[in-house]
Amino acid sequence: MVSIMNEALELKAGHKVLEIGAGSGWHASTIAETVAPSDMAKEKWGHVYTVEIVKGLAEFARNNVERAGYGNRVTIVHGDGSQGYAEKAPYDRVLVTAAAPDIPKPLIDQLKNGGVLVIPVGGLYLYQTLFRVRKVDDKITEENLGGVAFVPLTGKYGHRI
Amino acid sequence: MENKAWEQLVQSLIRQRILKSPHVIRALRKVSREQFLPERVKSYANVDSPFPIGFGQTISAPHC
Repeated sequence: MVSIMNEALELKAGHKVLEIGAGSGWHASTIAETVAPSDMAKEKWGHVYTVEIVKGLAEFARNNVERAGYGNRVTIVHGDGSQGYAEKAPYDRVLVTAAAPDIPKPLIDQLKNGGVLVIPVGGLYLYQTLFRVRKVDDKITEENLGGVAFVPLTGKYGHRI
Repeated sequence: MENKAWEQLVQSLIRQRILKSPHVIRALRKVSREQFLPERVKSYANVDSPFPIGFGQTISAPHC
């Protein structure tokens, strides 16, 4: 899934990226190496903000990311990512690594014009559909990228479980 | 990180045209999954499948 999403996001060096669902911190670190390559001048680096709702996982991810050497390019926030992370908005790219019942409005609001959002949408514990959402002149277009299977998104705009 | 099994997995994703962009490929090659896995599933790092990481959550697969 990491390969499919990283390609679908059309990532570029220098991008500011928001991830919802840090998990282990691996996906965020692969994105960090793409938008802030280790061999590029630090002034040109992008950054990844990743929001994790499970406190224990946020700590697990933070430890992993620091050990792997991405602590300076990935910021892990413990909180409800279904509401995005308004503090650092707007973002060039947003990805959601859990299945949402619908596209949370705050994530669209926090996306830059010209930005791309990749998100699985669908029911609990079944296959969902991966969507690529583009925001151009404050208008939204959606593209179906096919079937996927993710753990559910929880929080205000997530599934009630 | 030098890791032959990881490199083979990345090459297979390139052959399948799942990985296409040079900078995405470069990053995935550099950031292998092993160092992000809990101890009990570490030996599966190069298997293309999600694995449990506790709290009812999973680490994603490189592809599937």
